[in-house]
Amino acid sequence: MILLAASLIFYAWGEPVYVIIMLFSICMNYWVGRWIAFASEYGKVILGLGVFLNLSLLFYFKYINFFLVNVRAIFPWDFPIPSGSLPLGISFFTFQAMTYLIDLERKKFSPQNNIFHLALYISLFPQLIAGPIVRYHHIEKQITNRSVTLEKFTEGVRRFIVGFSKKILIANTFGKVADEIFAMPAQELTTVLVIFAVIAYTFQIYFDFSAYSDMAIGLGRMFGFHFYENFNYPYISKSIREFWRRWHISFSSFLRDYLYIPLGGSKGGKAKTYRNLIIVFFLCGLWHGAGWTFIIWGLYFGFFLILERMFLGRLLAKSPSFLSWLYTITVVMISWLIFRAENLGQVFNMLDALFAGRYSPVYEKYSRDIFLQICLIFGIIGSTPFFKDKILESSNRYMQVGRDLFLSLVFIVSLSFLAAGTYNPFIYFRF
Amino acid sequence: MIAAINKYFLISFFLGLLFIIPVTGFITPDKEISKAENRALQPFPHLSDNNLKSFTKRFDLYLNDHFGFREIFIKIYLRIHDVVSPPMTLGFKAVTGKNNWLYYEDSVENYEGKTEEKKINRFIDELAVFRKSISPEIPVFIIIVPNKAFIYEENLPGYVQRSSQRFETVEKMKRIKDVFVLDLYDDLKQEKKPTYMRYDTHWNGWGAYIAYRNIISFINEKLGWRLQIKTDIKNIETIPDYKGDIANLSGKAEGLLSRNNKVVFRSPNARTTEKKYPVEKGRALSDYTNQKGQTTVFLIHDSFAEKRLGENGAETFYYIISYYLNIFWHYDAKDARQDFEKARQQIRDVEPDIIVIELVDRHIQ
Repeated sequence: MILLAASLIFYAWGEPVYVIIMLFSICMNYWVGRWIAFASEYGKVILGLGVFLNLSLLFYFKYINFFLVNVRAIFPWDFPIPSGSLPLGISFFTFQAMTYLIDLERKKFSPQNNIFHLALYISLFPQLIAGPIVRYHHIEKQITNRSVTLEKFTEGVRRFIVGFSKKILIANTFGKVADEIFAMPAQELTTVLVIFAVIAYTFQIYFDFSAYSDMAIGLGRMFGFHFYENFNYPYISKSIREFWRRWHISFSSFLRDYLYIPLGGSKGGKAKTYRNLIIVFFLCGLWHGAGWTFIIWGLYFGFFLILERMFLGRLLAKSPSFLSWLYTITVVMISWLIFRAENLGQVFNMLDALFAGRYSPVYEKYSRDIFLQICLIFGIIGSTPFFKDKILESSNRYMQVGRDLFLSLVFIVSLSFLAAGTYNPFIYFRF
Repeated sequence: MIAAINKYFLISFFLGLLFIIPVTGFITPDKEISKAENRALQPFPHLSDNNLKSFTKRFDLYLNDHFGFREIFIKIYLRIHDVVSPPMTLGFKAVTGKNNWLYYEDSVENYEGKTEEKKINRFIDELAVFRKSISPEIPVFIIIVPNKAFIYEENLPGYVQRSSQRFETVEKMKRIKDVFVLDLYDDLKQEKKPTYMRYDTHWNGWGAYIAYRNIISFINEKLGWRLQIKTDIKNIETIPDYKGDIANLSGKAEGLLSRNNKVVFRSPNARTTEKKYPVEKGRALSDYTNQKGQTTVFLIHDSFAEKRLGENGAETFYYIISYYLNIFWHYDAKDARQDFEKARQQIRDVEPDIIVIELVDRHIQ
C-alpha cells in the first residue's frame, strides 16, 4: 500500500490532473480483467473491448491532434484542432495494462482480485514514466511476496548510480552538442557538423533511455522487484534484426508477442512476412510519436529488416564481423537523424549537408572539449559489455571495493552536475 | 568481511546523501542569491494562482535551487570544469575560461594567432592608403586595445596557446608611414586594479581611465602639446562582474547575471549629430563638447571608446567627432575601403586637429 501511495503521489506530482486518467485506466483494466475471467467463452470479445478502450485512451491523448491535422490537410474541411498535453508515460502504462488483459485471456495467470495489487502493477513508480514495459506474470508473485535483502539493495543502489550518472554525465553532455547542431539553420550545416550531431545523438539516446531503465531496475531491486533487462548493448549488433533484439527489449518483445506473431509472423510465406514487418514497424514508429518522422523512422527499420530477410542477412552472416557491425551502426545512426529531426524538411536538410562536403571551423570547439572527449571514451566503452564484465560484475574483492568507491565518487560528481545544470528531462518521457 | 563492509558503506553513503541533502535544504534558511553562479534563486512558490501543475513545476525549481550543500556541489562542478576546460559550453560566441571568466570566441582565436597573415596585411594596407589620403598636416594616431584574453590570460581555458601574431601585427602597424601607434598592452597588463570585466568583453571604468590617461600622454609626447588629463578619478565607475555582454550574447545571462543587472550598451552621453553626418543605420555618429579645451579630434572607434573618450575625453578635447566604423564588426577589404571613404568625406568637412583610430585586437582579423 505504501508503494502504491508513493507511486500515485509520484505520478500526481508530475500530472496533478491526469492522475485521474491513470486511476481510470486501473479501474477499467481491473473490471475488464475480471470480466474476461468470469465469461471466458466471450474472452476474445471482451479482450477486444479492453484493448479498444486502452487504445482509445492512447489515441485520444496522443494521436487525435496528429490525425486531425492530417485530415484537415487532405480534405477541404476546416475545423478547430483541440490542444492538450500528453499525460506522462501514457504509452507505457497503457501497453503494460494491455499485456495484463491479453495474457489473462491467454490464461497465463488468474485475474488479480485485489484492485490495489493491480494498481501497483500499472502505476509502480520506478518504471511508470519510461519503462521497461513489465509483464504482469513476470512480477505477479513479487507484488504480494517479495524480499528485500542487503545483497539486492546494494545491487539496486549500484544500478541506480550507474543509471543516474549515465544520464547526467554522458547523455546530457552529448545532448548539448546534438541540441546545438540540430537547432542550427540549414545553411550553416556542414558534413562534419551533421556527423557530430548524429554521433552525439546516437550516444545521447542510448545513454538517456538505458539510464532510465537502469534507474528503474535499480529502484525496483531496492524494493525487492526483479525487472527484466531492457537493453543488451544494442550498438554491438551485427544486423538490424539483432539490434532490435537488444534495443528496448520490453517493447520489441511486446511487438513480437502481441502483434507480429498474432499477425502470422514469418509462417505465412515471404510476402506475408514482409507485410507483417511493415505493419509492426509502422506501428513501432507511431508508438514513439505522433509525427511523420517517427513513422518514417519505423518504416526505415522495416525496410532494412525485409532486406535482411531477402538476402542481406545471409550476406552479413558471411561478412567479416567488422563490416556487419559497420553496416548496422550506420543504418542505426542515420535512423537517429530521422528520429531526432523536428520534421521531414530538417531530415532532408541534414542529409543534404551530410553529403555536401562543406567545411566549418565550428567543429573545433567540439574536438577541443576535453570533457566531451572523456564522455566519448566512456560512451564507447559503455556501449560494450566491458564495464559490466570486467568491473561491475567482477568477482575480485579488491576490484569490488574499487568499483564501489568509484561509483560513490561518480555519484557526487553527477549530483554536482545536476545542481549546476538546468532541467533536462529524459527523452522517453514524451512517449 | 570486506564485501560486507563494502555493501554497508555504499548503502550508508547513498541513503545518507538521500537523507541529508533534502533535510539540510529544509532546515537551512533560503538564500536569495547564489554567489557561485551570481544569480537569483527560485523563491518558495505559492498556490495563490490555483494552478496546481505550475505550482509543482515551480516547487521543483525551488527544490533544485535550495537543496542542501548546493553551493558545494556547484563549486565541485566549476572546479571540474576548470580542470577539463571545456572550450565552449555556453554558446557559439563565448568561451568559458577558468573561474567562470567569459571570452569572445574571436578574441580567443586572435590570442591563438589564427588570423590569416594575408588578411592582416590587407588591413594594414588599407590603413596605409587611408593615411595617405588624409592631409599630412593632420596627425593620425592608431591606438591598439588588447583583447581581454591577453590581459587576463591566466583565466583562459588550459587548451588555449598564446601566439606572438598580435605583437608582430603591432610592429607592422608601427611601420605605416606617418602614423603614431600606441599599444596599450603594457599599460593595462601591469595595472594591479581590475581593468576588464569577467562576463564582458570590454574594459571597466578603471581600464578605460588607464587607457585615456596613456593616450593623452602619448599625444602630448608626440605632438608637444599640453592636453590636460582629468585628475578627478573618484567617480570613475568600476562596473561589477555581474554585468556582461558576452553572458548576454551567449544566452547564459539568466544563469550568470543578476536578473536586474543585465548590461545594455549605453549610448555616448552626448548629443548626436546624425543630421550633419549621416551614417548607416545603427552606426551612431556622436559628438562631445566642452568649453575647456580647444582641440577637435576625429575618433574612429567601436564600443570600447564610449567609456574612454566619451566621458573622460570630454574633459580634454573641445570637440570629438565619434565615428563608428563598419569594418570593426565584419572586416572585409571592400567594406573597409567604403568606410574609410565615408570617413574621409567627413574629415574634409570637420577639419579635425587630430585623428585617432582605435582598434581592438580582435578587429584585426
